[in-house]
Amino acid sequence: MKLLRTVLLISTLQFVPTAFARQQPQGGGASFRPGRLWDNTTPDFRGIWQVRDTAYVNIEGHSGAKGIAPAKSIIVDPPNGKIPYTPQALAKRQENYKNRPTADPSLKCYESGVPRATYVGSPLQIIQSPGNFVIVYQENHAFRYFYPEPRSHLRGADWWMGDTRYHWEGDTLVTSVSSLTDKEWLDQSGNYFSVDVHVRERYNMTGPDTLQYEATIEDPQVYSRPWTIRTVLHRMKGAGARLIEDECLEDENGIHRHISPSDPRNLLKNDYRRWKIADAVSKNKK
Amino acid sequence: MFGEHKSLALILIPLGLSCLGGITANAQFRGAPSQAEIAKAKAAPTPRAKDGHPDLTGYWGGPEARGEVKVSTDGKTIELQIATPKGILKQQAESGNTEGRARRAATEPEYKPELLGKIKTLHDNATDEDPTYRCMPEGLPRIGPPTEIFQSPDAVALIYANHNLARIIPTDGRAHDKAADPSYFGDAVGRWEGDTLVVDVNRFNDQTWLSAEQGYFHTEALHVIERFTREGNTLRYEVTVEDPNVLTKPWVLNPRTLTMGKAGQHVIEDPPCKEMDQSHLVDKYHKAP
Repeated sequence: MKLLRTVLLISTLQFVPTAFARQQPQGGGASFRPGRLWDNTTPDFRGIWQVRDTAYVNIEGHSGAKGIAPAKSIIVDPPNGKIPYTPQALAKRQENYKNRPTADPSLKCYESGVPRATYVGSPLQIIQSPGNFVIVYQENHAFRYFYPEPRSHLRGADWWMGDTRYHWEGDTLVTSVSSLTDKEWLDQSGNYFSVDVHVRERYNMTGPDTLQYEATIEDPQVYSRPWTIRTVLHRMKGAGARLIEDECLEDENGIHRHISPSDPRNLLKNDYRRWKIADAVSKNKK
Repeated sequence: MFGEHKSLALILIPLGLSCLGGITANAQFRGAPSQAEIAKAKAAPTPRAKDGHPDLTGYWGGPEARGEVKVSTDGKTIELQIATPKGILKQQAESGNTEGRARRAATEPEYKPELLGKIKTLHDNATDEDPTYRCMPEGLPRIGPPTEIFQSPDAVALIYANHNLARIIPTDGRAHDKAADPSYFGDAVGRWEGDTLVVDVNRFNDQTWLSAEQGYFHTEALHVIERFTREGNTLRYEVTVEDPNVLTKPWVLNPRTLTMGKAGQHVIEDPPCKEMDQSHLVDKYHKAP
Protein backbone atom coordinates (compact mmCIF):
# COMPACT_ATOMS: atom_id res chain seq x y z
CA MET A 1 0.00 0.00 0.00
CA LYS A 2 2.75 2.37 0.94
CA LEU A 3 4.63 1.42 -2.17
CA LEU A 4 1.58 2.15 -4.23
CA ARG A 5 1.18 5.49 -2.59
CA THR A 6 4.76 6.36 -3.27
CA VAL A 7 4.39 5.41 -6.89
CA LEU A 8 1.29 7.56 -7.16
CA LEU A 9 3.15 10.44 -5.66
CA ILE A 10 5.94 10.16 -8.12
CA SER A 11 3.57 9.92 -11.02
CA THR A 12 1.71 13.03 -9.94
CA LEU A 13 4.83 15.01 -9.30
CA GLN A 14 4.54 18.35 -10.97
CA PHE A 15 6.88 21.23 -11.07
CA VAL A 16 5.50 24.20 -9.31
CA PRO A 17 7.38 27.42 -9.10
CA THR A 18 7.87 28.20 -5.44
CA ALA A 19 7.56 31.91 -5.08
CA PHE A 20 8.47 33.39 -1.78
CA ALA A 21 7.23 36.60 -0.40
CA ARG A 22 10.41 38.54 0.18
CA GLN A 23 9.03 40.29 3.17
CA GLN A 24 11.36 41.55 5.80
CA PRO A 25 11.15 40.13 9.29
CA GLN A 26 9.10 42.56 11.30
CA GLY A 27 10.24 41.65 14.76
CA GLY A 28 13.59 43.37 14.75
CA GLY A 29 15.37 40.06 14.19
CA ALA A 30 18.00 41.53 11.93
CA SER A 31 19.89 43.01 14.85
CA PHE A 32 21.03 39.70 16.32
CA ARG A 33 23.60 37.58 14.53
CA PRO A 34 23.35 33.91 15.51
CA GLY A 35 26.40 31.68 15.83
CA ARG A 36 27.53 29.55 12.91
CA LEU A 37 27.82 25.86 12.34
CA TRP A 38 31.27 24.42 11.73
CA ASP A 39 31.08 25.34 8.07
CA ASN A 40 31.30 28.95 9.33
CA THR A 41 28.37 29.85 7.10
CA THR A 42 25.09 28.29 8.23
CA PRO A 43 23.31 30.02 11.13
CA ASP A 44 23.22 27.70 14.14
CA PHE A 45 19.66 27.22 15.39
CA ARG A 46 20.39 23.98 17.23
CA GLY A 47 18.79 23.53 20.60
CA ILE A 48 15.58 22.69 22.38
CA TRP A 49 12.94 25.37 22.00
CA GLN A 50 9.50 25.95 23.41
CA VAL A 51 6.81 28.62 23.39
CA ARG A 52 5.69 29.96 26.74
CA ASP A 53 2.17 31.06 25.94
CA THR A 54 -1.08 29.16 25.54
CA ALA A 55 -1.94 30.26 22.02
CA TYR A 56 -2.45 26.59 21.21
CA VAL A 57 -5.90 26.91 22.76
CA ASN A 58 -6.92 29.60 20.28
CA ILE A 59 -4.49 31.46 18.08
CA GLU A 60 -6.98 34.34 17.91
CA GLY A 61 -6.58 34.77 21.65
CA HIS A 62 -8.63 33.46 24.51
CA SER A 63 -9.51 34.19 28.10
CA GLY A 64 -8.22 32.05 30.90
CA ALA A 65 -9.83 28.82 32.01
CA LYS A 66 -9.20 26.37 34.79
CA GLY A 67 -5.51 25.54 34.64
CA ILE A 68 -4.96 27.48 31.42
CA ALA A 69 -3.54 30.97 31.32
CA PRO A 70 -5.15 33.48 28.95
CA ALA A 71 -3.31 34.39 25.78
CA LYS A 72 -3.57 37.19 23.30
CA SER A 73 -3.86 36.61 19.59
CA ILE A 74 -0.61 35.63 17.89
CA ILE A 75 -1.99 36.88 14.58
CA VAL A 76 -0.05 39.98 13.59
CA ASP A 77 -1.63 40.45 10.20
CA PRO A 78 -4.45 41.42 9.83
CA PRO A 79 -3.99 43.90 12.65
CA ASN A 80 -7.27 43.00 14.34
CA GLY A 81 -5.82 39.59 15.23
CA LYS A 82 -8.60 37.65 13.55
CA ILE A 83 -8.34 35.04 10.84
CA PRO A 84 -9.85 36.48 7.61
CA TYR A 85 -12.24 33.61 6.93
CA THR A 86 -14.65 33.70 4.04
CA PRO A 87 -18.25 33.70 5.34
CA GLN A 88 -18.82 30.01 4.52
CA ALA A 89 -15.52 29.02 6.04
CA LEU A 90 -16.31 30.96 9.19
CA ALA A 91 -19.51 28.96 9.58
CA LYS A 92 -17.49 25.74 9.43
CA ARG A 93 -15.02 27.09 11.95
CA GLN A 94 -17.89 27.86 14.34
CA GLU A 95 -19.18 24.33 13.82
CA ASN A 96 -15.69 23.01 14.62
CA TYR A 97 -15.60 25.20 17.71
CA LYS A 98 -18.86 23.77 18.95
CA ASN A 99 -17.59 20.21 18.46
CA ARG A 100 -14.07 20.84 19.71
CA PRO A 101 -14.23 18.52 22.74
CA THR A 102 -14.42 15.55 20.37
CA ALA A 103 -13.54 16.83 16.92
CA ASP A 104 -10.05 18.16 17.58
CA PRO A 105 -7.79 15.75 15.66
CA SER A 106 -5.02 16.07 18.22
CA LEU A 107 -7.36 14.45 20.74
CA LYS A 108 -7.18 11.37 18.56
CA CYS A 109 -3.40 11.30 18.75
CA TYR A 110 -2.82 12.67 15.28
CA GLU A 111 0.24 14.77 14.77
CA SER A 112 -0.37 18.46 15.22
CA GLY A 113 0.90 19.43 11.80
CA VAL A 114 2.27 22.72 10.56
CA PRO A 115 2.27 25.32 12.02
CA ARG A 116 0.45 24.00 15.09
CA ALA A 117 3.26 21.73 16.27
CA THR A 118 5.44 24.80 16.78
CA TYR A 119 3.25 26.45 19.40
CA VAL A 120 1.59 23.35 20.80
CA GLY A 121 3.21 24.00 24.15
CA SER A 122 5.70 21.15 24.25
CA PRO A 123 9.31 21.55 23.16
CA LEU A 124 10.93 20.86 19.83
CA GLN A 125 14.56 20.17 19.04
CA ILE A 126 16.43 21.46 16.02
CA ILE A 127 19.14 19.14 14.72
CA GLN A 128 21.44 20.69 12.16
CA SER A 129 24.51 19.93 10.21
CA PRO A 130 25.68 21.78 7.12
CA GLY A 131 23.06 21.00 4.49
CA ASN A 132 20.64 19.29 6.89
CA PHE A 133 17.89 20.87 8.96
CA VAL A 134 15.55 18.67 10.98
CA ILE A 135 13.01 19.49 13.64
CA VAL A 136 11.93 16.78 16.06
CA TYR A 137 8.84 17.66 18.06
CA GLN A 138 8.29 16.19 21.49
CA GLU A 139 4.58 15.84 20.90
CA ASN A 140 3.96 12.47 19.28
CA HIS A 141 7.69 12.26 18.41
CA ALA A 142 6.88 13.95 15.10
CA PHE A 143 9.67 15.15 12.86
CA ARG A 144 10.15 17.28 9.78
CA TYR A 145 12.98 17.15 7.31
CA PHE A 146 13.53 20.47 5.58
CA TYR A 147 14.29 19.84 1.92
CA PRO A 148 16.67 22.37 0.49
CA GLU A 149 15.42 24.21 -2.54
CA PRO A 150 15.25 24.14 -5.44
CA ARG A 151 12.95 21.21 -5.51
CA SER A 152 9.31 21.60 -6.35
CA HIS A 153 6.57 20.57 -3.98
CA LEU A 154 5.06 17.14 -4.39
CA ARG A 155 1.42 17.28 -5.28
CA GLY A 156 -1.29 14.82 -4.43
CA ALA A 157 0.03 14.06 -0.97
CA ASP A 158 -1.73 14.96 2.22
CA TRP A 159 0.73 14.69 5.05
CA TRP A 160 0.28 15.75 8.64
CA MET A 161 3.66 17.46 8.71
CA GLY A 162 3.54 18.51 5.06
CA ASP A 163 6.33 18.89 2.55
CA THR A 164 8.84 21.53 3.60
CA ARG A 165 11.30 23.37 1.34
CA TYR A 166 13.63 26.00 2.69
CA HIS A 167 16.30 28.49 1.93
CA TRP A 168 18.21 31.09 3.90
CA GLU A 169 17.58 34.80 3.55
CA GLY A 170 20.53 36.14 5.46
CA ASP A 171 20.17 34.70 8.94
CA THR A 172 16.48 33.89 8.49
CA LEU A 173 15.37 30.41 7.51
CA VAL A 174 12.45 30.73 5.11
CA THR A 175 10.25 27.77 4.26
CA SER A 176 7.47 26.91 1.91
CA VAL A 177 5.19 24.18 3.25
CA SER A 178 2.63 22.41 1.14
CA SER A 179 0.93 19.00 0.86
CA LEU A 180 -0.70 19.38 4.27
CA THR A 181 -3.76 17.34 5.12
CA ASP A 182 -7.02 19.17 5.76
CA LYS A 183 -7.73 16.84 8.68
CA GLU A 184 -5.57 18.91 10.98
CA TRP A 185 -6.51 22.04 12.88
CA LEU A 186 -4.55 25.14 13.76
CA ASP A 187 -5.45 25.07 17.45
CA GLN A 188 -7.92 23.59 19.91
CA SER A 189 -10.65 25.97 18.82
CA GLY A 190 -11.40 24.58 15.40
CA ASN A 191 -9.46 27.04 13.26
CA TYR A 192 -8.63 25.16 10.11
CA PHE A 193 -7.45 25.16 6.51
CA SER A 194 -8.01 23.09 3.37
CA VAL A 195 -5.68 20.89 1.31
CA ASP A 196 -4.87 23.96 -0.79
CA VAL A 197 -3.12 25.62 2.12
CA HIS A 198 0.33 27.05 1.61
CA VAL A 199 2.34 27.97 4.69
CA ARG A 200 5.43 30.14 4.51
CA GLU A 201 7.46 30.11 7.67
CA ARG A 202 10.29 32.34 8.83
CA TYR A 203 12.61 31.31 11.64
CA ASN A 204 15.08 33.82 12.95
CA MET A 205 16.92 34.30 16.20
CA THR A 206 16.24 37.56 17.98
CA GLY A 207 18.69 36.84 20.79
CA PRO A 208 20.93 34.02 22.00
CA ASP A 209 17.97 32.21 23.54
CA THR A 210 14.98 33.37 21.52
CA LEU A 211 13.83 32.04 18.19
CA GLN A 212 11.12 34.04 16.47
CA TYR A 213 8.64 32.06 14.43
CA GLU A 214 6.46 33.59 11.80
CA ALA A 215 4.04 31.79 9.51
CA THR A 216 2.01 33.26 6.68
CA ILE A 217 -0.95 31.10 5.82
CA GLU A 218 -2.59 31.29 2.44
CA ASP A 219 -5.62 29.32 1.37
CA PRO A 220 -8.07 30.91 -1.06
CA GLN A 221 -10.61 28.19 -0.30
CA VAL A 222 -10.90 29.28 3.31
CA TYR A 223 -9.46 32.76 3.76
CA SER A 224 -10.15 36.01 1.95
CA ARG A 225 -6.44 36.95 2.18
CA PRO A 226 -3.16 35.55 3.48
CA TRP A 227 -2.58 36.12 7.17
CA THR A 228 0.39 35.87 9.51
CA ILE A 229 1.09 34.59 12.99
CA ARG A 230 4.17 35.37 15.02
CA THR A 231 5.38 33.83 18.24
CA VAL A 232 8.62 33.38 20.13
CA LEU A 233 10.28 30.13 21.12
CA HIS A 234 12.57 30.15 24.13
CA ARG A 235 15.65 28.01 24.50
CA MET A 236 15.43 25.28 27.13
CA LYS A 237 18.73 25.59 28.91
CA GLY A 238 20.44 23.37 31.39
CA ALA A 239 22.55 20.27 30.91
CA GLY A 240 19.63 17.93 31.43
CA ALA A 241 17.31 19.54 28.89
CA ARG A 242 15.91 16.95 26.55
CA LEU A 243 12.80 15.86 24.73
CA ILE A 244 10.82 13.35 26.72
CA GLU A 245 9.10 10.38 25.15
CA ASP A 246 5.52 11.21 24.38
CA GLU A 247 3.20 8.46 23.26
CA CYS A 248 -0.41 9.25 22.59
CA LEU A 249 -2.41 6.05 22.69
CA GLU A 250 -5.96 4.86 22.90
CA ASP A 251 -7.22 3.61 26.22
CA GLU A 252 -9.71 0.90 27.02
CA ASN A 253 -12.65 3.20 26.47
CA GLY A 254 -11.49 4.26 23.07
CA ILE A 255 -10.31 7.59 24.42
CA HIS A 256 -6.95 8.77 23.17
CA ARG A 257 -4.60 10.34 25.60
CA HIS A 258 -1.00 10.98 26.27
CA ILE A 259 0.06 8.04 28.35
CA SER A 260 2.40 8.52 31.21
CA PRO A 261 3.74 5.11 32.14
CA SER A 262 4.56 6.38 35.61
CA ASP A 263 0.95 7.23 36.30
CA PRO A 264 -0.84 4.10 37.52
CA ARG A 265 -4.17 5.54 36.46
CA ASN A 266 -2.90 5.67 32.90
CA LEU A 267 -0.89 2.53 32.73
CA LEU A 268 -3.16 -0.45 32.92
CA LYS A 269 -1.75 -3.76 33.84
CA ASN A 270 -1.27 -5.45 30.52
CA ASP A 271 -2.26 -2.35 28.71
CA TYR A 272 -3.29 -4.00 25.50
CA ARG A 273 -5.65 -6.43 27.16
CA ARG A 274 -8.16 -3.62 27.17
CA TRP A 275 -9.13 -4.67 23.69
CA LYS A 276 -10.76 -7.72 25.07
CA ILE A 277 -12.83 -5.39 27.22
CA ALA A 278 -13.56 -3.20 24.23
CA ASP A 279 -14.72 -6.24 22.30
CA ALA A 280 -17.02 -7.26 25.09
CA VAL A 281 -18.41 -3.75 25.32
CA SER A 282 -19.13 -3.61 21.63
CA LYS A 283 -20.81 -7.02 21.74
CA ASN A 284 -23.02 -5.87 24.60
CA LYS A 285 -24.01 -2.85 22.58
CA LYS A 286 -25.22 -5.12 19.82
CA MET B 1 2.79 -0.55 5.85
CA PHE B 2 1.62 -1.61 9.23
CA GLY B 3 -1.44 -3.08 7.63
CA GLU B 4 0.76 -5.26 5.48
CA HIS B 5 2.62 -6.48 8.48
CA LYS B 6 -0.56 -7.50 10.14
CA SER B 7 -1.97 -9.09 7.04
CA LEU B 8 1.03 -11.34 6.94
CA ALA B 9 0.54 -12.30 10.56
CA LEU B 10 -3.08 -12.86 9.76
CA ILE B 11 -2.16 -15.58 7.34
CA LEU B 12 0.29 -17.24 9.62
CA ILE B 13 -1.36 -17.20 12.96
CA PRO B 14 -4.60 -18.97 12.19
CA LEU B 15 -2.43 -21.79 10.95
CA GLY B 16 -0.78 -21.94 14.32
CA LEU B 17 2.54 -21.04 12.80
CA SER B 18 4.92 -18.26 13.34
CA CYS B 19 8.42 -17.10 13.02
CA LEU B 20 10.07 -16.32 9.76
CA GLY B 21 13.37 -18.02 10.17
CA GLY B 22 16.68 -16.46 9.34
CA ILE B 23 18.11 -17.65 6.05
CA THR B 24 20.57 -15.83 3.90
CA ALA B 25 18.96 -15.00 0.64
CA ASN B 26 21.23 -15.46 -2.29
CA ALA B 27 21.06 -11.89 -3.19
CA GLN B 28 18.29 -11.09 -5.57
CA PHE B 29 15.32 -10.75 -3.24
CA ARG B 30 13.73 -7.34 -3.71
CA GLY B 31 17.02 -5.96 -4.84
CA ALA B 32 18.82 -7.01 -1.70
CA PRO B 33 22.49 -6.28 -2.23
CA SER B 34 24.85 -9.10 -2.93
CA GLN B 35 27.95 -9.50 -0.84
CA ALA B 36 29.82 -7.89 -3.70
CA GLU B 37 27.51 -4.90 -3.59
CA ILE B 38 27.99 -4.58 0.14
CA ALA B 39 31.72 -4.82 -0.33
CA LYS B 40 31.54 -2.10 -2.94
CA ALA B 41 29.49 0.16 -0.65
CA LYS B 42 31.95 -0.52 2.14
CA ALA B 43 34.86 0.47 -0.05
CA ALA B 44 33.54 4.00 -0.43
CA PRO B 45 35.25 6.55 1.80
CA THR B 46 33.72 6.96 5.26
CA PRO B 47 32.74 10.60 5.68
CA ARG B 48 33.79 12.19 8.96
CA ALA B 49 32.09 14.90 10.93
CA LYS B 50 33.95 17.99 12.08
CA ASP B 51 34.70 16.35 15.42
CA GLY B 52 36.48 13.45 13.69
CA HIS B 53 33.81 10.82 14.32
CA PRO B 54 32.29 8.99 11.37
CA ASP B 55 29.26 10.88 10.10
CA LEU B 56 26.30 8.54 10.36
CA THR B 57 24.02 11.03 8.62
CA GLY B 58 22.18 9.39 5.79
CA TYR B 59 19.20 7.44 4.58
CA TRP B 60 19.89 3.87 5.63
CA GLY B 61 16.80 2.38 4.08
CA GLY B 62 18.73 1.13 1.11
CA PRO B 63 18.32 -2.48 0.07
CA GLU B 64 19.22 -4.52 3.04
CA ALA B 65 21.08 -7.79 3.35
CA ARG B 66 18.87 -9.00 6.13
CA GLY B 67 18.20 -12.41 4.71
CA GLU B 68 15.06 -13.78 6.27
CA VAL B 69 13.91 -15.32 3.05
CA LYS B 70 15.30 -17.91 0.68
CA VAL B 71 14.92 -17.30 -3.03
CA SER B 72 15.09 -20.19 -5.44
CA THR B 73 17.78 -20.17 -8.07
CA ASP B 74 15.33 -19.36 -10.84
CA GLY B 75 14.00 -16.50 -8.69
CA LYS B 76 10.44 -17.72 -9.00
CA THR B 77 9.79 -19.00 -5.51
CA ILE B 78 10.46 -17.45 -2.16
CA GLU B 79 10.73 -19.74 0.82
CA LEU B 80 9.91 -18.57 4.31
CA GLN B 81 11.31 -20.70 7.05
CA ILE B 82 8.45 -21.27 9.42
CA ALA B 83 8.69 -22.91 12.80
CA THR B 84 5.95 -23.84 15.21
CA PRO B 85 6.04 -22.38 18.72
CA LYS B 86 6.57 -25.86 20.01
CA GLY B 87 9.58 -26.18 17.78
CA ILE B 88 11.02 -22.92 19.05
CA LEU B 89 10.72 -24.01 22.65
CA LYS B 90 12.26 -27.32 21.75
CA GLN B 91 15.15 -25.56 20.11
CA GLN B 92 15.76 -23.62 23.25
CA ALA B 93 15.78 -26.79 25.29
CA GLU B 94 17.98 -28.76 22.93
CA SER B 95 21.41 -27.96 21.76
CA GLY B 96 21.31 -26.96 18.12
CA ASN B 97 23.17 -29.39 15.94
CA THR B 98 21.84 -28.51 12.58
CA GLU B 99 22.79 -25.30 10.92
CA GLY B 100 19.29 -23.86 11.24
CA ARG B 101 19.08 -24.60 14.92
CA ALA B 102 22.46 -23.13 15.60
CA ARG B 103 21.50 -19.97 13.82
CA ARG B 104 18.23 -19.74 15.62
CA ALA B 105 19.85 -20.35 18.95
CA ALA B 106 22.19 -17.52 18.17
CA THR B 107 19.39 -15.13 17.38
CA GLU B 108 16.78 -15.92 20.00
CA PRO B 109 16.82 -14.74 23.60
CA GLU B 110 17.33 -17.42 26.21
CA TYR B 111 14.63 -17.23 28.82
CA LYS B 112 14.65 -18.76 32.24
CA PRO B 113 13.08 -22.22 31.92
CA GLU B 114 10.21 -21.39 34.26
CA LEU B 115 9.14 -18.57 31.94
CA LEU B 116 8.86 -20.64 28.77
CA GLY B 117 5.28 -21.52 29.59
CA LYS B 118 4.32 -17.89 29.89
CA ILE B 119 6.02 -17.13 26.59
CA LYS B 120 4.13 -19.94 24.93
CA THR B 121 0.86 -18.63 26.31
CA LEU B 122 1.62 -15.11 25.11
CA HIS B 123 2.66 -16.49 21.78
CA ASP B 124 -0.39 -18.67 21.36
CA ASN B 125 -2.54 -15.64 22.08
CA ALA B 126 -0.48 -13.26 20.01
CA THR B 127 -3.45 -11.79 18.20
CA ASP B 128 -4.73 -10.70 21.57
CA GLU B 129 -1.51 -10.05 23.40
CA ASP B 130 0.90 -8.58 20.87
CA PRO B 131 0.99 -4.88 21.74
CA THR B 132 1.70 -3.69 18.21
CA TYR B 133 -1.55 -5.16 16.96
CA ARG B 134 -3.17 -2.21 18.67
CA CYS B 135 -0.76 0.38 17.31
CA MET B 136 1.23 0.35 20.53
CA PRO B 137 4.89 1.35 20.15
CA GLU B 138 7.28 -1.44 19.18
CA GLY B 139 9.92 -0.38 21.65
CA LEU B 140 13.47 -1.68 21.55
CA PRO B 141 14.91 -3.77 20.02
CA ARG B 142 11.79 -4.74 18.11
CA ILE B 143 11.62 -1.54 16.10
CA GLY B 144 14.90 -2.50 14.44
CA PRO B 145 17.48 -0.13 13.02
CA PRO B 146 16.54 3.44 12.09
CA THR B 147 15.73 4.32 8.52
CA GLU B 148 17.51 7.64 8.58
CA ILE B 149 20.09 9.31 10.81
CA PHE B 150 21.04 12.93 11.34
CA GLN B 151 24.14 13.62 13.33
CA SER B 152 25.35 16.76 14.97
CA PRO B 153 28.13 16.89 17.58
CA ASP B 154 25.86 17.01 20.62
CA ALA B 155 22.97 14.84 19.47
CA VAL B 156 22.06 12.19 16.94
CA ALA B 157 18.50 11.91 15.62
CA LEU B 158 17.33 8.44 14.66
CA ILE B 159 14.33 8.51 12.33
CA TYR B 160 12.13 5.48 11.79
CA ALA B 161 9.83 5.14 8.80
CA ASN B 162 7.44 3.14 10.95
CA HIS B 163 4.98 5.22 12.98
CA ASN B 164 6.86 8.43 12.16
CA LEU B 165 9.10 7.89 15.13
CA ALA B 166 12.10 10.00 15.99
CA ARG B 167 14.53 9.26 18.82
CA ILE B 168 17.12 11.77 19.89
CA ILE B 169 20.31 10.35 21.37
CA PRO B 170 22.32 12.93 23.30
CA THR B 171 26.06 12.55 22.69
CA ASP B 172 27.12 15.48 24.84
CA GLY B 173 28.56 13.26 27.55
CA ARG B 174 25.58 13.37 29.86
CA ALA B 175 24.75 10.42 32.11
CA HIS B 176 21.45 8.57 32.25
CA ASP B 177 18.59 10.50 33.76
CA LYS B 178 17.94 8.54 36.94
CA ALA B 179 14.64 10.33 37.41
CA ALA B 180 13.29 9.47 33.96
CA ASP B 181 9.93 7.77 33.90
CA PRO B 182 9.95 4.28 32.41
CA SER B 183 9.03 4.56 28.76
CA TYR B 184 8.57 2.54 25.58
CA PHE B 185 11.89 3.57 24.09
CA GLY B 186 13.73 4.15 27.34
CA ASP B 187 16.29 6.75 28.33
CA ALA B 188 19.13 6.73 25.83
CA VAL B 189 22.61 8.21 26.02
CA GLY B 190 25.24 7.89 23.34
CA ARG B 191 29.02 7.83 23.39
CA TRP B 192 31.74 7.10 20.88
CA GLU B 193 33.96 4.06 21.28
CA GLY B 194 36.49 4.58 18.54
CA ASP B 195 34.48 4.77 15.33
CA THR B 196 31.41 3.14 16.82
CA LEU B 197 28.48 5.05 18.28
CA VAL B 198 27.33 3.15 21.35
CA VAL B 199 23.81 3.92 22.54
CA ASP B 200 23.00 2.74 26.02
CA VAL B 201 19.31 2.57 26.86
CA ASN B 202 17.59 1.81 30.15
CA ARG B 203 14.48 2.96 32.08
CA PHE B 204 12.09 1.00 29.88
CA ASN B 205 8.52 0.18 30.77
CA ASP B 206 7.45 -3.45 30.49
CA GLN B 207 4.79 -2.90 27.85
CA THR B 208 6.65 -4.06 24.75
CA TRP B 209 7.90 -7.31 23.30
CA LEU B 210 11.49 -7.89 22.31
CA SER B 211 10.58 -9.20 18.87
CA ALA B 212 7.60 -9.81 16.73
CA GLU B 213 5.02 -12.40 17.72
CA GLN B 214 7.14 -14.58 19.94
CA GLY B 215 5.74 -13.52 23.27
CA TYR B 216 9.18 -12.37 24.30
CA PHE B 217 8.16 -10.12 27.14
CA HIS B 218 10.55 -8.27 29.43
CA THR B 219 10.58 -6.33 32.65
CA GLU B 220 11.58 -2.78 33.51
CA ALA B 221 15.12 -4.06 34.09
CA LEU B 222 15.59 -4.20 30.32
CA HIS B 223 18.91 -2.78 29.18
CA VAL B 224 19.62 -2.38 25.49
CA ILE B 225 22.96 -1.51 23.95
CA GLU B 226 22.94 -0.47 20.31
CA ARG B 227 26.10 -0.06 18.24
CA PHE B 228 26.31 1.86 14.99
CA THR B 229 29.42 1.47 12.89
CA ARG B 230 29.72 3.17 9.54
CA GLU B 231 32.06 1.72 6.95
CA GLY B 232 31.88 3.50 3.64
CA ASN B 233 28.25 3.51 2.63
CA THR B 234 27.27 0.68 4.94
CA LEU B 235 26.05 0.87 8.50
CA ARG B 236 26.47 -2.05 10.84
CA TYR B 237 23.79 -2.23 13.50
CA GLU B 238 24.43 -4.45 16.50
CA VAL B 239 22.20 -4.91 19.50
CA THR B 240 22.69 -6.56 22.87
CA VAL B 241 19.71 -7.03 25.16
CA GLU B 242 19.93 -7.66 28.88
CA ASP B 243 17.17 -8.38 31.34
CA PRO B 244 18.43 -10.48 34.23
CA ASN B 245 14.87 -10.88 35.50
CA VAL B 246 13.86 -13.00 32.53
CA LEU B 247 16.92 -13.87 30.47
CA THR B 248 19.60 -16.32 31.49
CA LYS B 249 22.24 -14.42 29.55
CA PRO B 250 22.42 -11.30 27.39
CA TRP B 251 20.78 -11.71 24.03
CA VAL B 252 23.05 -10.71 21.16
CA LEU B 253 21.03 -10.15 18.02
CA ASN B 254 22.42 -11.01 14.63
CA PRO B 255 24.14 -7.88 13.35
CA ARG B 256 22.50 -6.20 10.41
CA THR B 257 24.26 -4.34 7.66
CA LEU B 258 22.34 -1.49 6.11
CA THR B 259 23.29 0.26 2.94
CA MET B 260 22.92 3.90 2.03
CA GLY B 261 19.91 4.83 -0.06
CA LYS B 262 19.95 7.12 -3.05
CA ALA B 263 21.23 10.65 -2.62
CA GLY B 264 18.43 13.00 -1.68
CA GLN B 265 16.25 10.18 -0.39
CA HIS B 266 14.47 10.81 2.90
CA VAL B 267 11.82 9.17 5.02
CA ILE B 268 8.34 9.82 3.72
CA GLU B 269 5.61 10.34 6.25
CA ASP B 270 3.81 7.14 7.23
CA PRO B 271 0.03 7.29 7.54
CA PRO B 272 -1.08 7.30 11.18
CA CYS B 273 -1.40 3.81 12.63
CA LYS B 274 -5.03 2.89 12.82
CA GLU B 275 -6.29 -0.37 14.13
CA MET B 276 -8.32 -1.90 11.33
CA ASP B 277 -7.65 -5.59 11.26
CA GLN B 278 -9.41 -6.39 14.52
CA SER B 279 -12.72 -7.01 12.81
CA HIS B 280 -11.08 -9.32 10.27
CA LEU B 281 -9.32 -11.57 12.74
CA VAL B 282 -10.72 -15.01 13.18
CA ASP B 283 -9.39 -16.96 16.14
CA LYS B 284 -10.55 -18.01 19.53
CA TYR B 285 -11.06 -14.42 20.65
CA HIS B 286 -12.33 -13.01 17.41
CA LYS B 287 -15.17 -14.89 15.79
CA ALA B 288 -16.22 -14.52 12.23
CA PRO B 289 -19.31 -12.31 12.02
